[in-house]
Amino acid sequence: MKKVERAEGDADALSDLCRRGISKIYACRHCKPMLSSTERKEGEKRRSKLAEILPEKKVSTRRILRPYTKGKFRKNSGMKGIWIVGREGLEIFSTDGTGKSGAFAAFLFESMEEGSRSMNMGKVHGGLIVSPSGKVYLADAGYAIVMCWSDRTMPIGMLRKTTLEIAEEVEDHGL
Amino acid sequence: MYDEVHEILYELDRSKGVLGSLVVSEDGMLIASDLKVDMDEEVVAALGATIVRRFREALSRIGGDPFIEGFIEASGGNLLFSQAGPNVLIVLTERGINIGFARLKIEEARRKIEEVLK
Repeated sequence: MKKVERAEGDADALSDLCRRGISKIYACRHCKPMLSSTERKEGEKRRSKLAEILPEKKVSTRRILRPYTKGKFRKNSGMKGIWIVGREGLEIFSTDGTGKSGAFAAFLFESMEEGSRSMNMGKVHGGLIVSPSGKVYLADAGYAIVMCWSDRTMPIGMLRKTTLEIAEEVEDHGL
Repeated sequence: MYDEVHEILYELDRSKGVLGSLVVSEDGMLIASDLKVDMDEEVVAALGATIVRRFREALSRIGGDPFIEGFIEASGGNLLFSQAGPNVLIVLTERGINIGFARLKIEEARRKIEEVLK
């Protein structure tokens, strides 16, 4: 076990480290009992308070999309690409499945919203377009739009479910 | 011919959750309609054609594929579009209906409309 030089034989120095919110204190067996249980508990309390104050660590978009982009999903499902596009049309994230730009996703979603608004159908949650070579599903993800592109083999229900799931993740993490 | 198309739409509208359907030409002119809800059919026709035109535009930008079908899911209901030859079949449904079943019915109607308007 690594010894904290400063803290060796000094209970005050150890509790000082605790007070400063240092979560891991390495000490030898000899040094550890020098912190009383009350002091340790107090340190724990301070650390948890610190964790509340500090901003939560951001989860990367790539990490969120990993279950959908890696391994069996991409290979077997027919999914060709996933895009996360800002409402202004700028790409936030895209897999390079097709090399196609996701910029038109915003344009398309806007058209859907416009149509729905004019027909008094309310807020658009998502939409699908089918062409001979594949399907595109667009879903609302707050300030962004998620677009999934699949070939014709992928069932529409699966494409819809995946896109809505990703949209929910994106919205929850506030990317 | 108009009566035949109207008959097909009437049949389609009898499906659960379907609020109405229209057949519109590419330029937004109404060919036939059967709406259960109080909406101006000419307006729905023009707006539907505009949405489909935008779908086509987007598809042409990403590889020139023709449009086959599409739908929009909104909080107040769904809008389903299907290419029927040179025309478009537009169907309005309630929210939460079985879209899979509705699509089957629409596909059946689309085929019949294509046959009649050939």
